[in-house]
Amino acid sequence: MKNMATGRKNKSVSYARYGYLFILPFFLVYIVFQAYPLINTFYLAFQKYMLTGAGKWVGPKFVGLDNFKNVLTKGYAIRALSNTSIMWIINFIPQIFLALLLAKWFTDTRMRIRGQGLIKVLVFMPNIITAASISVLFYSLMAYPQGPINSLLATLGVIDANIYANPGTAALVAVRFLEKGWYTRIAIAFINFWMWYGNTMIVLISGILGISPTLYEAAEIDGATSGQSFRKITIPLIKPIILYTLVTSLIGGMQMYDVSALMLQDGSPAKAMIQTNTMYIMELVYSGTKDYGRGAAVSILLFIVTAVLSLILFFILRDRDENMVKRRGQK
Amino acid sequence: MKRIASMVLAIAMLLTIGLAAAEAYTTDFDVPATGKPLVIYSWNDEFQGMLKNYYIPAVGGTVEDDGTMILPNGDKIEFVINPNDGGVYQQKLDAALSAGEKLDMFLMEADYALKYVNSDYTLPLSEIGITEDALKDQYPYTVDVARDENGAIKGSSWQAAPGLFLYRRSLAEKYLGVKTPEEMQEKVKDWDTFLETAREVAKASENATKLIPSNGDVWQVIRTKRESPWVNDDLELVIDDQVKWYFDFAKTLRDENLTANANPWSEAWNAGIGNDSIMGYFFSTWGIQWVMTGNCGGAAPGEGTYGDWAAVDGPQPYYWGGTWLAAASSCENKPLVKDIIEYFTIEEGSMKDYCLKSKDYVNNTVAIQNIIDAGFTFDFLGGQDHYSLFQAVTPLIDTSTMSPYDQNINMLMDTEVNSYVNGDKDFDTAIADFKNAVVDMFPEITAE
Amino acid sequence: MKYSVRIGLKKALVYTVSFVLCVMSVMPFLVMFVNASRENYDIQQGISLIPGNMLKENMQTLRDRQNFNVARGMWNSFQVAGLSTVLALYFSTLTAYGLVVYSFRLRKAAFTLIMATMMIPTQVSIVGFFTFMFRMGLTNTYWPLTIPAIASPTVVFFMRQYMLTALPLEMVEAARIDGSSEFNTFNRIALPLMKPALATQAIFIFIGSWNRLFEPTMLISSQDKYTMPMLVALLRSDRFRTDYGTVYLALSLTVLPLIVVYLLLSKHIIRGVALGGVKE
Repeated sequence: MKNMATGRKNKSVSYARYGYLFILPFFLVYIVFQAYPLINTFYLAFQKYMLTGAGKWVGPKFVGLDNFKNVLTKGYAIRALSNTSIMWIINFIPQIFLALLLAKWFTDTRMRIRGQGLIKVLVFMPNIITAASISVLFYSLMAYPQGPINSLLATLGVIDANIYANPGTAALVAVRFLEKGWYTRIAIAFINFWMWYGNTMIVLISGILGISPTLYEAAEIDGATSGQSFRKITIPLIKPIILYTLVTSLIGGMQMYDVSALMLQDGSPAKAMIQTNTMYIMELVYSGTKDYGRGAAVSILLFIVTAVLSLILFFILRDRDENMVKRRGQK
Repeated sequence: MKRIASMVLAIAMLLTIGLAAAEAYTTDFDVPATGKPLVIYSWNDEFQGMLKNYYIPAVGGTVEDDGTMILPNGDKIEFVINPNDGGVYQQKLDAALSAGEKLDMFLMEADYALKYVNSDYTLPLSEIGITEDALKDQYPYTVDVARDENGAIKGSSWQAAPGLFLYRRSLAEKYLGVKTPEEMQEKVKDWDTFLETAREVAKASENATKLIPSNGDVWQVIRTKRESPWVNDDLELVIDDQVKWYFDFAKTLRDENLTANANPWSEAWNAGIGNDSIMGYFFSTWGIQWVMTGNCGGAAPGEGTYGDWAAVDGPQPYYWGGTWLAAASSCENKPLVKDIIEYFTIEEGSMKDYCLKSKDYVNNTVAIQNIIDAGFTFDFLGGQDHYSLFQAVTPLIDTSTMSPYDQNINMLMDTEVNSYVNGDKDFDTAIADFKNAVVDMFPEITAE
Repeated sequence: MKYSVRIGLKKALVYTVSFVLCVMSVMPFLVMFVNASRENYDIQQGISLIPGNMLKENMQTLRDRQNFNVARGMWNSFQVAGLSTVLALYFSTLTAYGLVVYSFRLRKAAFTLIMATMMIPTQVSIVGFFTFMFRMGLTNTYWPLTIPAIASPTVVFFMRQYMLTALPLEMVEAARIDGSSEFNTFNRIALPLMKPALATQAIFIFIGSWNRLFEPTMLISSQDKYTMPMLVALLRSDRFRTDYGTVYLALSLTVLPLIVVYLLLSKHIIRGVALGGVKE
C-alpha cells in the first residue's frame, strides 16, 4: 500500500486535466442553454423593466438596489417567504423521519419484511403522478359544502347534518377548507409530504445499499442490535446522502410552486397564507404588469436565503463530505 | 369568473343532427396560395371546430383524417392551442409575439382584449383590407371594444354577448308559484326584489334549493353597472359605489345563506345546472348553448334539466364575455385572415348559416333579425325565443367601463370580498388590502 | 423467546404502518382509474370508488377528439424522457466522477457553481430563454428539452454524494495499475458500481421529464409534437365544457408507462452491487 501511495502522488498532478475534461460537457451545455436565464435574472434585478397592464414597455433602466429595497419594504415577498418556510417545515420534518424509518425497516436484513418489494413500489406511487392530478383530488375532497371531508364530519355529527343549514341556526356548519389559510397550508404540506416521502425513502435506501455488507456482518458478529447498527454504521456512512436529501429538499421547498398554486382557488382568501415565493415571482412577472425587475429581485433574495441555509447544512454535516473529498483526492 | 366566451361545436353538431341534411352553405374562395400554413393561436378547440365544420366546407377545402385543414389553394391552417387556466394561453402568446414566432392570427377574450388592442402586436383591420364601414351590421359595442386609443379597429367578434337570467321552470313553480317567464321577471325585476325572492326560495325549499350559485355570479352582472372603469385616465384606482354595494349585497347573501356557495366554474357550480340545488344562473349568449346544455345532464327535452329552463331579462341589462379575432402584427397571409374574418363576422349569409346550426348568437343585426322574423325557438328553453330578449338587451350594453386591467383586478377584489363575507376582515381593512394588492400587481397605478 | 416476541411486535407495527401508507398511496390512483370509467355528469356529482360503465365510451370520445393522438403523444413523451434520462445519467455521473476522483484547482469552485445554479429561481427569464431558443431556431424541436439534461445539477450532486459513500478509490487505483485508461475506468468500473444510484436517478429523471408541462408548452407549437401532459392539458383547455371522464382516462394512460418504468428500474435498487469491488 505504501509504495502505491507514493506512486500515485506523482501521477495525481497529471490526472488533474481529466478532472477538467470530465466536467467539461456539463459546463459547455450549461453555458449554451442555462447560463442565460441565470445571468439575465441577475441583470434584471438591478433594472427598472416592465410591461405595464396597458401594454407599454418601461425601461430597462439601471436603478441600483431600488428593486431590492422595494420588495423588502413593500409588497408580499416577506409574507411569501414566511409562508414557504412554514409549509416546508411542516412537510419536511415528518417526511425525513418517516423516510428514514422506512429505509431502516426495508434494509434491515434481520427483520425480513415480507412483501417489501410491493410496499416499496406502492409508497413511491404518489411521486409518479403530476401535482395537478393529485391536487384535483384533494380539491374535491375538501370541497365546500358537499366534499367528502365535510360529509364525513356531518355523518360523525361534528357539524350539522344539513350542510345547507343557516349559519345562525346550526351550532357548527361545513368548513370552507380551501378558504381558510391554515387548513389549506396543512393540506398543501400534507400533499407535498405524501408525494415525496417515497422518493426520499428510495434515495436513502439506495444510499444504504451502497454501504459494504461486510460492515454489518462484522457488527452482527460483535453482538450489535439492528438499532445500534443503524445508528453507528448506517447514519454516519450515509451522511453525504442525507446531506443531499436535506439540501435538495430545502431547494425544492424554497421553490415550492405546483401544489400551492393548484390548491389556490381563484379569489380564495387563503392566498395571503399560502402564496409562496415562486408563486409571487410568477405573479409579478406574468400577471398584471410584468415587472421583471422586482420579479428578479425576489428571485435573488430567495437564492440568498437558500444559499445561506444550504451552507449551514454543509457546515453541520461537513465531516464526511468536503473533508472526505480532500482526503480522497490527496491520497 | 374571469373570462369568457364562446361556444360551440360538439354541442352544435349534436343539436343539429336534424339539420345535417339541410343544404350546405358555400362561398367563393379566391385567396392566392402562399405555400405557408396559416397559424392561429387559441385557448380551446372551438374556433378550430368552426373552421373545420363551416369555413373549410364552405370554401371547398378538405379536412384530412388526422384533422389537417387544407384550403382549395393548397395552403394549410394550423392551430396552437393552450389552456386559459393558469394564464398559459397568454404566456405562450406573449412569448410568441415578442420572439417573432410564426403567428398570423389569434383570439382574444373580453377580459383582456384591450391589452392586445392597445399594443403593437395587433394589426388594424384596415391594414388587412377591412374598412370600418364593412362592420356596420355588427353590434356597435363589439366594434368599440376593439378600437384602440387612436381609433383604429384591431379585432372583430363573431358573437355578441348580452346577458339574461336563466331559471328552472319546475323549481320556480314549486317554490315561488311562478308559471310564466313574465311572472318570473316580476320576481327578479330589480336587486331588492331579487334578494326577497332569494329568501323566499331558500325558505320554501328549506335550503335545498337556492336562487343563485354564489355571490360571484352577481358581480358578473353588477360590474357592468359601474360608472367608471377600474382605472381612470390618470392611472388611479377607482372604487365605484357599485363595488361597495356589491360587498354589502354579498355579505347579506352569505349571512342569510342565500346562495348555494358554488363559486363560478367550480364543480358544484357546473353540477348545479343538472341538479335541483340551484334555481337560476346569470348567463350570456355563449353560456346557454355551450355551458348549460353541456352540463344539464341531457340532450333533448325531458332528459336531465333540458327543456326545463327559461330566460328573463333579470334585474338589469348586462353583457358577459365575447371573443374577438385579431390579425397578428407578424401576419404573413393577410388576404386569408381577411377572408376568415369576413366569413364569421361580416357576411350575413355565412353568419346566418352558422347561427342556425350552432345556436350561437352571431354578431350581425341583419342576420339575427331575419332569424327572429322567420320564427325562432329553442327547445332547451322550453321552446322560448330568447333571441328576441337578447336583441332587446344588446343596444343597452355599455362597455365604457371595460379596461385592460379587468381580469386581474376582478380577481384581486374577489379575494377581498370573500375575506369580508367570511368574516375574516371588516370592510375598511378589505378595501385597504385590495388597494395594496392592486398597486403591487400594477405599480404604475396609484390608489388614493 | 422474548427476542422473537419483540421482533414479532415490531413486525406487526411495520406491517400496520406499511398497510396504512399503501392504502393512502393507492387511493388517488383508484379514484383516477374509477373516474376514467365514469361519465362527466357523475364525476361532477362526487367522488366514488365504484367503477362506472363508460370506459368504452370515454375511450371512443378520446379517439374521436380532433387533437388527441395517444400513440403519437406517448412516443413523443418517450423520446423526450428517454433521451433526457440517458443524457442526464451519463454526463452527471461523469461530472460527479470528475469532481470526486480528481484533484484540480477549480474543483471546489465548480462544485459551488453547480450547487448555486440549483438555488436560483429562473422563472423571470423564461421568456428571454424562449426568445433565445427561437433565435437559434430551436423552438418546436425537442433539443431544448433534452440536451440541457447534460447539465443536471441535482443529479450531479446526488452522484457525487453517492460516490463519497460507495465508490472505493482503491478500485480506481487498481484499474490504473492494470493499465486501464481513465475513461475506460469510468465506463467499465465506476458506472457498474453505481447501479443502485443510476436506477434511482433514472426513475426520478424519467418521471420528472415525462411529467414536464411548462417548458414543452412554451417551446413546442406543432400538435404532432405534443407530449402526453400537453395533450391532457388540451383536453382540459375548455373550462366551460371539460369532459372529466376522458381527462381521467388520459391521465391514467399517462401514468401507466411510468409505473412500468418504475417497476423495471426498482429491481436494480438492491444490495451488494459494490460487494465484489470492496472485498479484495
